[in-house]
Amino acid sequence: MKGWVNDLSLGCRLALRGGRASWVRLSMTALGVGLAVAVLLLASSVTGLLQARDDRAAVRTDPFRAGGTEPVPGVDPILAVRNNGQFRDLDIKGYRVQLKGSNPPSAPGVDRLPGPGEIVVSPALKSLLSGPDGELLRPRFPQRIIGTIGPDGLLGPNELVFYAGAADLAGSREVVTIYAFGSQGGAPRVFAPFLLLLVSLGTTTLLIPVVIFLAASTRLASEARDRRLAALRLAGGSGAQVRRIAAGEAFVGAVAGLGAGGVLFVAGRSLTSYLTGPVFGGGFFASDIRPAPVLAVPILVAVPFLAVSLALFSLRRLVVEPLGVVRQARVARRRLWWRLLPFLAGGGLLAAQLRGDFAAFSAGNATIAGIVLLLLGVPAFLPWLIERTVHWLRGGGRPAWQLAVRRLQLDSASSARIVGGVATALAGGIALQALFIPAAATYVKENPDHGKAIFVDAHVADLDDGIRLAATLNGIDGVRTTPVIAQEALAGTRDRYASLHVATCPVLRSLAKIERCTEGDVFRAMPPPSKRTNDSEQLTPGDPVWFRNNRADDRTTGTPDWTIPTTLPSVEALPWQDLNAPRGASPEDVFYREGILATPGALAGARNTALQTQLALVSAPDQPDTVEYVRNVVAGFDWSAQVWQPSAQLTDRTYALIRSALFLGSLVVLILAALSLLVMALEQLRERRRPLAILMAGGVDRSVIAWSLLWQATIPIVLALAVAFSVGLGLATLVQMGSGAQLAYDWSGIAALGAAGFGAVLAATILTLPALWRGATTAGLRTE
Amino acid sequence: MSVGHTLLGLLESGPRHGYDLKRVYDEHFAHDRPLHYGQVYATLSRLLRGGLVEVTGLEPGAGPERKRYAITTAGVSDVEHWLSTPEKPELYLQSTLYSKLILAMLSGRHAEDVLETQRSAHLELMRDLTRRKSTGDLADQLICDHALFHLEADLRWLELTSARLDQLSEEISR
Amino acid sequence: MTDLTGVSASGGGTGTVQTSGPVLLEAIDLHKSFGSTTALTSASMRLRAGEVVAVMGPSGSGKSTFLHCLAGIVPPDAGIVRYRGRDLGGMSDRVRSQLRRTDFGFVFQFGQLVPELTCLENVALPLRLGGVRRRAAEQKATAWLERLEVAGVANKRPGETSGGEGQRVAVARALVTGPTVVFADEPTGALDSLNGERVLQLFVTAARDTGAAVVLVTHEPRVAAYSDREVVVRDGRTRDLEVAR
Repeated sequence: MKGWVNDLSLGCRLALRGGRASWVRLSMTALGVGLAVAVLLLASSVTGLLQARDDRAAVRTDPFRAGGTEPVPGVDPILAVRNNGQFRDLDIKGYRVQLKGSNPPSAPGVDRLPGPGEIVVSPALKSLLSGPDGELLRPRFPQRIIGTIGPDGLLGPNELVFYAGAADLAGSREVVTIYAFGSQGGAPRVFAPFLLLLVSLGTTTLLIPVVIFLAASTRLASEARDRRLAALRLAGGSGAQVRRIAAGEAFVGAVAGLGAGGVLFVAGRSLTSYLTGPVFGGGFFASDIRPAPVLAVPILVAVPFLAVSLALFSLRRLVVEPLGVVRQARVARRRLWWRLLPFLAGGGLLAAQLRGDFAAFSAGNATIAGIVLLLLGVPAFLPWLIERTVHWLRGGGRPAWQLAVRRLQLDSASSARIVGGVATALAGGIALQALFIPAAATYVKENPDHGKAIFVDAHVADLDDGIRLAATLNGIDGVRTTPVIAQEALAGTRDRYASLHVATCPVLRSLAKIERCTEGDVFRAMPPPSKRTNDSEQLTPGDPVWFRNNRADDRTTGTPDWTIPTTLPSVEALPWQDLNAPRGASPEDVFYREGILATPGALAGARNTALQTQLALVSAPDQPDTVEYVRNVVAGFDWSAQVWQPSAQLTDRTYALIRSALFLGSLVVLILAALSLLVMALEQLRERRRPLAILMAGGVDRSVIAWSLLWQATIPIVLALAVAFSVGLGLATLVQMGSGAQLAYDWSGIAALGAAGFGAVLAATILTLPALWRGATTAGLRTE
Repeated sequence: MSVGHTLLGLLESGPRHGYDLKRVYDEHFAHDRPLHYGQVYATLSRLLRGGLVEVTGLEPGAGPERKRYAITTAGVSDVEHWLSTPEKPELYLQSTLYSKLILAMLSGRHAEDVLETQRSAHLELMRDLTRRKSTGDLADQLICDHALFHLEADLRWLELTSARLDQLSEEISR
Repeated sequence: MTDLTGVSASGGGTGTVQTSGPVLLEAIDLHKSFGSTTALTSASMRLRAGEVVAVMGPSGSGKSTFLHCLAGIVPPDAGIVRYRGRDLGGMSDRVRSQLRRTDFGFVFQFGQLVPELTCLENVALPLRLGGVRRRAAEQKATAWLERLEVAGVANKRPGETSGGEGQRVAVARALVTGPTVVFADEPTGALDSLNGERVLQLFVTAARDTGAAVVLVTHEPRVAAYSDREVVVRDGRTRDLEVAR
């Protein structure tokens, strides 16, 4: 036992005290392992990150749902209403609050809630307002900024949030009386089964390559190690001792890698605060990205264990003799049968799940296991394929090609490992792409309103108010509004309802066939008989009605707000043709403005009117900021007004988050692959310094060597792409069949993935060229 | 190298005439200088006196070239002894060169200069030997090699000594 | 041998000392240092077509650096190297590389064969890099392997051959393009006497047959004995009798 410890510690010392060469080797291993460890740590932080965000989001929004509305002794409640907005593609989350006393509840991250004319903003919103883009946004926030919101009240550092003080919230729709912010924490995130499938496929896709790169990094510089071990045998070490010494060295590399991984992780997570974009909801606080101990501790244990086992495993075919290393003059051919097992098992599992039951298929553990097995088959099968293929290649062609083929014939294992990782990522990526097609149908909806117009939904006191708003909007360059029609919902007794449309006579004539119209007239618009619904006839002349627009309650008793005039000519409604018209499911669908049509004079005696006008604005398409000017105008008119410009797609937010996360993950994996390849290629250049220097001395162009390196990278990656495509498409087909979806493949997306993988490998190779230019000089000729 | 032992060795394969012996000797060992007949018969009579060879027959006619010689058992054991005894390493030019080097140093010259002059001469000889080696048979090659190794050893010794002496003279003059 | 003095008189080898051929390569007063270490302080020599010149000197005397400068592998800090009257220093890196590929051949002590390629492919490589088609290149390479008596290792990789075989393959590679100058840096340094002698013999004979001049860097007199004359490097200085004359 003591001998063991001695051997291991000797290995450790060898790794540390071998002079410059051993430091280079150690740092390369540390870098390779570190990159993988950093990614693993990041992955282990995801659940914690989501939880932290959910918790804070809950504190902010729960009072609006429940809990916070219960009276709390000693607290002066506030009136609060949500007031979310948009600025370009950024979401702004806002709350309007009205204080009712000197002891309001404390909002998360806010020192003092604002009074009328005051506002508290998040740091990101503050800097946006004071930045160059703020010009366009500032008119919407004329209030005095009295403070910023601390991290407690934000999901991420870049979130745009405000609390604006107000004096007139009473009676507003959706207003809530709040006694306390805060809650017992957010509900755990629940993923729909299909989303769960996406998550597990995505995680597998991303983590398998990372583990592969990790393993590959621990085996860097094995040739130099073998020579060192031979020297140890010569000095009298036994075979078993040499193995333990190798294990010690691997251990040091792994520990150094863990350290490097920690540093990279901390450095990398501080970069995450720069992540912005609609999906990431204001970026991430570095402090939220904390590895979950349940996952981080196994990583800390597993990495050295893996490194040591791999070191021992890779020595099994190696006879370290005192006078050198006998590495199997002819390598034992890789055997195929066990490499096909994961494919067969995975494919079989998935095929067995094909029962057309979408939810069961998506959520089934067997499905996930099948996917994992299929993907694991890629790195298992690829080395065999590459080995067979390069042995089949004749090595003819140009010298660069010949050099590359012969090099691969001699040792294809290290590059096979790396491209195996890339191929796994790609195969998973292709399967994911295929999953996203049916998913897109469910979670991304084509927006029927896209491209039509900018829509404004504002409250107006009366029709003139609306006409004034429209006039102001028409003053904006390039904007033309639809005719102003104000609307109200009418509720009668006995659950009878009707819509009220208020407009001037000329506008009313465009809604229905009205022959004579004077100020004060009211009509009942009825669609042609074939299109008629019961609604059209529910309320009759003389009925008392109550306005609904601005009301939280359903009261239809007491003094009515208005009475339907007794003179109510029925007119035939005309098809709805302006921009506001809802789009039908088919061209034959035609919609009508039915209900009560009234001129403004007819509402003279009404009370509690809360008219709403929906305007559609045509704007010049080449001026994307027009919508911001419209928002500024409308905000001055009615803060609760909604202004939106329909985007092309309506995307489920969770779905979008997963998609972005997976995209980011694929990117990370590809970068990791490229970096691993780079490290490995540099290491190879270092080991082959002398032969390269001699080639250069003999007048061989560097370009020949550069081309041979390129070919050497290209041959495996082309094979890897072939395998990735086959497995990816096969997996996609099985999964699509399992989910009962029509078979469809996103060829452009698949091509893009392939190009990205190919590009990553090529980029890594190209990045080694400067080192080749510098390293493969004749300086390598000088004997060591 | 002893002519007597060589002749004895040649007789071991069977009795020969004196003329025969000279011819075989010249073929294998003489290279540049063939044996004189007188040398052959002087040696043979010396061996005869010592009982290492005996005359086994006389051809008709006169003259010593008509005698057939054969090796005796004493002769065989003598050859065996000779073969199993190492040669005393010869010192060749050592004493002369040593004197030159010391003299160079004492007179303030570089020992290296002596070396280089000597090296040229040595190499010249070595080139000749090398050339001969490439055309000669195996025996030629072996013998040339022997000479080459000796010359090389001389040169190496010379190199080492001159380097040491130069070092020494620098120390002295300091 | 006691009768060596007579050997030189007889002469009669195959080698002919060429002191009258045209000057191929000329180095004048080369200086070279690596960082604080000075490798060459004043090195000069002249190489005539077809001659075999040994560059001798103890280890660390700057022999190898001298060879690298002569071959245009390393530019000297000062001094001129002319090949056929053209200043190597005035050529671009590309032209120098090309020159090394077409006109020069190289044999080093070890590690010069591309480990991935078979011996035959290694020998054919310079031809292929020069644009010769594979078949023709490999035919020629096979002929050279036969000439150097290593046809048997044609399809083995360098790692599977003995040291002597490897050096013969290296010699074949150096000569296959028909160079005018072959630079050899301790070509037999890693071999035992018997193998070393044979490799040298084959090498020098083949070089003489093809008319290639040889710069043979060595510290061994026995190796230098294969040359026509020697240049001695001492502390970065040369003593070339040819130039001195």
